[in-house]
Amino acid sequence: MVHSSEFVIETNRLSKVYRSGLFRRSRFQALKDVSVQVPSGQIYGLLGPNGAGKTTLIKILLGIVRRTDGDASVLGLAAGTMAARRHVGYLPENHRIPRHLTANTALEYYGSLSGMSGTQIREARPRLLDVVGLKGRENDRVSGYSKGMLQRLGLAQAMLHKPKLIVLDEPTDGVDPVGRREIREVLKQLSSEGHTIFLNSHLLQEIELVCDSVAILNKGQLLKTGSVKDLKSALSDAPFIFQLQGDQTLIRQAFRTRHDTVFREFGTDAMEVEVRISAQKDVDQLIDAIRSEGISIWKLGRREQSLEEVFVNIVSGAAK
Amino acid sequence: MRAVYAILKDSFREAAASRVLWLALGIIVLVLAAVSPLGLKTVPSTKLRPFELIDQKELMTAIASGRTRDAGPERHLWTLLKDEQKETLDKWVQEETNPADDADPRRSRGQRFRRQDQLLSTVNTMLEMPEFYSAEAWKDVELPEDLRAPDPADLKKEERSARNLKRFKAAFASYVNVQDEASLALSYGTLTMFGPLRISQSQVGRIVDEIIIGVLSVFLGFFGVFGSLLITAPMIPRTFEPGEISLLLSKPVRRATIFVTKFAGGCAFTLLCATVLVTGIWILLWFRLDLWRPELLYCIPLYVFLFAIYYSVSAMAGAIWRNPIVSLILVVVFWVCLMTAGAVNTFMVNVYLPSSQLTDVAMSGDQTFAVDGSRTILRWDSTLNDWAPIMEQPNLNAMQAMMRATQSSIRPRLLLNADGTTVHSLQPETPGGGAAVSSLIRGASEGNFQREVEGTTPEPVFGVFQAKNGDLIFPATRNIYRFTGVAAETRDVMRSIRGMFGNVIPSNSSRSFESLAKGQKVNFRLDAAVTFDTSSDTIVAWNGGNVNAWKRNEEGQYLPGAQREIDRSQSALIAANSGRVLCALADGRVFMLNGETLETQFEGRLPEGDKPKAVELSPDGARGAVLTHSGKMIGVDETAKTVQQLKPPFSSPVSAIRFDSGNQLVVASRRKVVTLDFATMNVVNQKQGKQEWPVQAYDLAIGPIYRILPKPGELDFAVRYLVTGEKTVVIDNDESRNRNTVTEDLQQNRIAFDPWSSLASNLGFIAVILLAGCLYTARSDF
Repeated sequence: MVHSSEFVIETNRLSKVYRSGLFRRSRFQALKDVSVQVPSGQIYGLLGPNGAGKTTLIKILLGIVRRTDGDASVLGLAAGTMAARRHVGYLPENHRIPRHLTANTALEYYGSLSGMSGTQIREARPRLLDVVGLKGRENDRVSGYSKGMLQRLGLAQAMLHKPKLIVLDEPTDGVDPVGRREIREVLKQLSSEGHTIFLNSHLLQEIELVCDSVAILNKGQLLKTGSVKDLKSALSDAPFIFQLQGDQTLIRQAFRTRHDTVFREFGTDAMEVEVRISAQKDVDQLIDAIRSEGISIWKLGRREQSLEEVFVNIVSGAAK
Repeated sequence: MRAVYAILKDSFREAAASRVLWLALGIIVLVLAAVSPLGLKTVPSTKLRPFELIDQKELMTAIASGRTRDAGPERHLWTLLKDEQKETLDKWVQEETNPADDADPRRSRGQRFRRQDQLLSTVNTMLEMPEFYSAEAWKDVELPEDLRAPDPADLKKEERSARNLKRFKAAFASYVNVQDEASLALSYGTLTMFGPLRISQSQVGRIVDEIIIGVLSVFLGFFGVFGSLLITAPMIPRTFEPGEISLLLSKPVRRATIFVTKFAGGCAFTLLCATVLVTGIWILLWFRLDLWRPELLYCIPLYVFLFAIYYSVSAMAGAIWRNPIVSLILVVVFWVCLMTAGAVNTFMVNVYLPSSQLTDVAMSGDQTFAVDGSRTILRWDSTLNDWAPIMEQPNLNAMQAMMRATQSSIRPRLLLNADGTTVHSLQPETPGGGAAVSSLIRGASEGNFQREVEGTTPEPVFGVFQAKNGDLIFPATRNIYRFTGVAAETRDVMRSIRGMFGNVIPSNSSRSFESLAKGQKVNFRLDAAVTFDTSSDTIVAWNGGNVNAWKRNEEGQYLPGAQREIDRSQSALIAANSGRVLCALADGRVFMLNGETLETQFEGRLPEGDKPKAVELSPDGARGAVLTHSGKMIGVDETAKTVQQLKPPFSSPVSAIRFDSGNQLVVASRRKVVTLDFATMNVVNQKQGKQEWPVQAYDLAIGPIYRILPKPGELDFAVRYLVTGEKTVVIDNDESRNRNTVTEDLQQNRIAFDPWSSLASNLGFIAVILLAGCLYTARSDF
């Protein structure tokens, strides 16, 4: 048994400093004290702007880059070891599959490198190529493939040896909308089969649609982790939405003290009003003012934010 | 292992996907297909060839005698000659019979070859003539019946020439030796392209070997290796590109495995090309020339190995910089560095060291003399504790002297009088190994060993020897001479004249040489080896595979003695003393013969692949020594009837051997002369001359550095060994000499090589570079 911990990926104060130059060596801190825990069976998203350290984190987990400090484990094994890599499938960003290969020979090549026998590869290959939508093109040279087809083939090789953990770096890059949807379905299917997926994508909508949890990195530091749902709702500066019934003039009169207010007409004697209020006492005072004008409150609540808004808020908040 | 197999398989796939590979294979197959119809076929001999001419002068004289004859083949052939041909022939005969006193012997050799060509051309043209044969003219010549009958009118030209050649041979049997009834012709399919060729069947193997070595060296060693480097240079940089290496490193495979296996896979390209080319040549040799050379197939891994040396540099550069252009530039820089190191080492080993090392040593009385590779005669100066040059040749600069070490010629053997007060030696005046027209030079203690030129031999001689009565004997190609001496007053006049003209005028006088073979037909080939038994004044020669002894009678004249054929295909070196003859053959066989009967007493062998360079017998004839071209010394013990390698008590190669008057072995190595007890190899006496600074620099720096560096260029030696089985190679080639010989010249300068020694340094280099590459990839972030 390889994995007994509830976390498939676990990092503890992980740091990475890149050094370059032969004599006057410059330093660049790519990761600083990053501690992440990825539960088993989840689709876990990694968010962050360019240069945040997402790819570095993935490469440390796979042993492609050596850590400077801290600890990391994958499936309970030291990250980057041969034993750990045996159970990981990886699709790198901008991967390059040798152009002289076909889909079949590429899967044979990568499958053999993953320790699969020829028979195992030949058995798994047709179904997998069907799943990623490359059926019928299996004997075409990779050099003739589009970017999207290469992504699909990359995904197939990552899934070929049925790894417990699949690490995907921008898996839908260059894939058309229909293809993206198909890939999302594949990821959900894999998750339902018990695979853990660690997903790095700059397409926040993709993450929002497919991920159970996310971690947000910026400038090498971990800013936030948690489930997508919690992240979207936990933030306090979401605007309040009021649906009110009454004279529109009176409604506007009730909100006269608020400057950041958006009025939307809602029938003849009704209005929807969006207003940013941070303190609870201000909410109470506003409700009192509305009621004192004789206006009925149909509905009152905070508006739900998109992940993008959450991300921008967190990252820009960290920048301030 | 699965991962290794997968990467190797991928490399083969990558090579197979390359158009250049198929193009290269296509070109190789096309070239092989184009040359496959080439072959040698046997055709009747229709021409007289140079090496079949036993006696050029006598043949010319015989044909020219047709002018005064009434009948016979000589008369008939004379009538077939044109007037200008008759005049030329008369002139040649006149000049050869009565050479002018002022004839320059240095020119006579070239002239001889030109005349030989013209004579052969004239004879061969006559052989084609329908009127060549006349039954009347040949009536006294012994001929088979079919040749005696007149030729049919419709006879083809080649058939007529072949029949006429046999008639010519029958008529002039004393002067020509037509070796084969059949000659070789170069054919292309059924078409005869050139022929009959001027080579014998026994020369075919050697010539083909040289062609194969050349073809492999150029096609595989240069174009193959650098072409493959051009094609494979991008393989490793491409593998280490971020998109590809990340994918590979995510798999459970070690980084070192990826690097080394990719490197091995890159060699697949060269392996394929080398396999196709070498196998093709091997099959062609087998089927077309009937030469079975399975050892040729070993050249395949050898050339892949050669490629691997350069590719290891390319691979490491590719892993570090991930740029094929940088890889190629580094390979070229690496190649230039190795070439430079190789050139410096080659100059030192082939030119400088041979020029400074002693090539002959002689002791007499308390004097020790030696000759170095630049043919400078040296005398041991006990006050300086070093060698001092004597009898120096004027107007010879240092570079000219040094380059003399690379030129083949007879080795000037020192001849000392009993108390070491007079030194004689020969200075070759014509280039090439074997016999040479030479000046006899002399130095005497009373003249402070100043150089005296006593005279120039009238024809090529094999050496100078001293008879019991003090006569200086010169065995020459067509005669045996005695030096009659120079009167003291003549010597003074010559010395004055040469002093006035700055010592630039050589003595061309050949009047001081008297024939000792009057009425005898001496006919030593240019590639003969001739020695002198001082105990009986007997001349013994290895002459075209025969051992001939010439005995001196009471009148001082030489008469032919015993003769025995040993091996006509081999050249040999020979020594004689006290009734024993020691022969060392080119193929490594060593014979001790009885000097009277020339019967074999016992025989042995030299180390495998080695060839003799010098042979010596002790004055009592009981001990012999053979020096090989690789510097090894083989002892021959007449009493124990053994031939075994001797181990001198120093590591540097032996450059000269001699026996002193006490039957002790005197050995020279570099500038050192050591007298050894033959039985124990203990040092009896030693003289160590000072080494010049370039030699010290070579010993301390250049040599050790070169030994550490990889030596891809030396893999050609391994190929040569695999193809020819030889461990020495000739470093100069005298074409004018080779044309008249069918055996190889053992006196030509050769360098000895160990075919496998470079493998160790090359293998070590590849291992170090791959290890460095593995360490780099293992410690890098990708």
